[in-house]
Amino acid sequence: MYLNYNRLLSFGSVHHAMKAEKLLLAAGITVDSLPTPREIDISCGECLLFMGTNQQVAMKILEDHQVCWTKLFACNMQDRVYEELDSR
Amino acid sequence: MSTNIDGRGLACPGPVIAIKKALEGISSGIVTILLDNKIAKENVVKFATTHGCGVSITEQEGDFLLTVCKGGAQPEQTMRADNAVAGDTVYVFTQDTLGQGNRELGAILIKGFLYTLLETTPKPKTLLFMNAGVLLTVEGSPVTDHLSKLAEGGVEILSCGTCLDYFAVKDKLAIGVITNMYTIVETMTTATKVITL
Amino acid sequence: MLGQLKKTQDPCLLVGIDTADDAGVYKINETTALIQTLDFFTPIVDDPYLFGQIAAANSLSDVYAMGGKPLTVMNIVAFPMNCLPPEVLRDILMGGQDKVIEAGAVIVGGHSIDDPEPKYGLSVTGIVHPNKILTNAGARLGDILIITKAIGTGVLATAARAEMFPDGVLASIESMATLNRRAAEVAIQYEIHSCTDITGFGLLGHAYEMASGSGVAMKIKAGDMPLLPDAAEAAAMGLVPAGAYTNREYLTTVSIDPSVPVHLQDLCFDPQTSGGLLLSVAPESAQSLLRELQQSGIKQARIIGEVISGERGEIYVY
Repeated sequence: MYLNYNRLLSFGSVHHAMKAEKLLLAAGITVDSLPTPREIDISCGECLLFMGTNQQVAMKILEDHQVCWTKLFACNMQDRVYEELDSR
Repeated sequence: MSTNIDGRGLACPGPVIAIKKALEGISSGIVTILLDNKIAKENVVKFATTHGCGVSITEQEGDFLLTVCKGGAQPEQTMRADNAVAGDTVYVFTQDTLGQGNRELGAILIKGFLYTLLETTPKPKTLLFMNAGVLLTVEGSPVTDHLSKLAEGGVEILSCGTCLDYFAVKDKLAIGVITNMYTIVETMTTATKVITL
Repeated sequence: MLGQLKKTQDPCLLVGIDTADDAGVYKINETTALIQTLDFFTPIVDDPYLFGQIAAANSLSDVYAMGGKPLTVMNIVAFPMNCLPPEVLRDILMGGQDKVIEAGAVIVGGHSIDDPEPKYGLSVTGIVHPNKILTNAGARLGDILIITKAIGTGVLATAARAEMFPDGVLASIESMATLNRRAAEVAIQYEIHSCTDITGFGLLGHAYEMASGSGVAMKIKAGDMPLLPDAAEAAAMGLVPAGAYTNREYLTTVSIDPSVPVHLQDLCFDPQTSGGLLLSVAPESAQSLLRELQQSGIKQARIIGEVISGERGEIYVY
């Protein structure tokens, strides 16, 4: 359920988003992809959703595999509020 | 058109008044507001969510940049010609040829189709390009001329950004503008007729 | 800061700066104690007469909150003599005077200074029987909490500056200009263990003062709080004054159940001007007191919580 996730990660290219999704799923992390909300990026792109409890593990996996992400948000999917936590 | 507000230095409830005015002035779109304190940020977020708008918050050298999105945000529109566009039909191009079976034939067919579309009235409202369809709107496409003329006639030409990105041709877009899945779905949902090729 | 001043040893001082009370109380004889208090502030409404009314009601409120009766008052005035027309000052003073007359007290003088920023309020002297003083301390386990005015003046003051919610703003002005006199007169006939008036620290701030002063904990139902018209909507859309955020940050012993909507949470911390009384009343008297308050014209009176066992000063909002 999209509404339950509280972390959103955006990427520079859809290729990285796809690679990230595969890596995280392989590591057993629950993840979902969705079109990047317009409040974050007006051009179409795919972003990933996951739980804050998995943040540390997930970000380490992406670092280790040199996946290029652009921004990490704490998100409230119900209210559509996205607060930037980190950026590259 | 996105509106940008510098809300720094505004005494409460200045920021909320500013965002309210800006959002009232548009039917849909993006408004950004730069704020210099946490309280203004919290209040503008509250305003946005009560009014059904999404909002993202980025910190910028101690200030807060809020991006508020109202309704169906459209990217920059191409200028509409004086001859008003009648009809509410949307055509969706999901490949760079027309039909299955033979690619060579398909390339010929798509040129012919777009040419005929030029001559037909009423003109369509929007042409949506997705998946390999985006290869028709970039430099070097065999149908650039046809699409230019359609655009001059007031037809909206929208190409999926993810698809352009996938084929690594985002910087080669020649006609129309980049769009996103939200706008694509909205365009199809609100159209009177959707024809997928 | 007050802790750095020398402590007074005078046995006649019944209520001093040791407790976070609303006024000072000094015993004169066996049946009479003197209440002394003062308050003043900058304009919160545009109309000078209404500003005078609100400032006066606010200053007088502390006497009622101690269970007393105001006797004499003195005007405290700061006014830009060369920048604003004298009629403005006249109207402020008229507003104050009319409110003082309504309270049954008398103006005996005052003092004014030239100041670029106008301010107005009163220094008030009242009386109370030494055995019947109502203080911040004294709330008991099991007591029922009642408030006598609706909440939301801070949010509506912000709305006024945004030129929104005119109905709510008017209702707020009327509420701020209302004396706590009647509420106090009704309440003192019942078994009140503690009383304070709700002002700048908001409902939760003053509830905390009472809980802390009494050595008790409290639970408050946010949904039972009487609200001024439009206050909920104004709070939801972000017309929340900075004071509400500061109050929230400062009150660390307050815990709020996440099911309480954010706008109600904000209203719990909303700084009030000339707010109502917060009463801690013996449970057996609560319903009768509430009924009599409402029948006496204090229609916004509501039960909002109770005193519970717990850590001193802890407030649980649900």
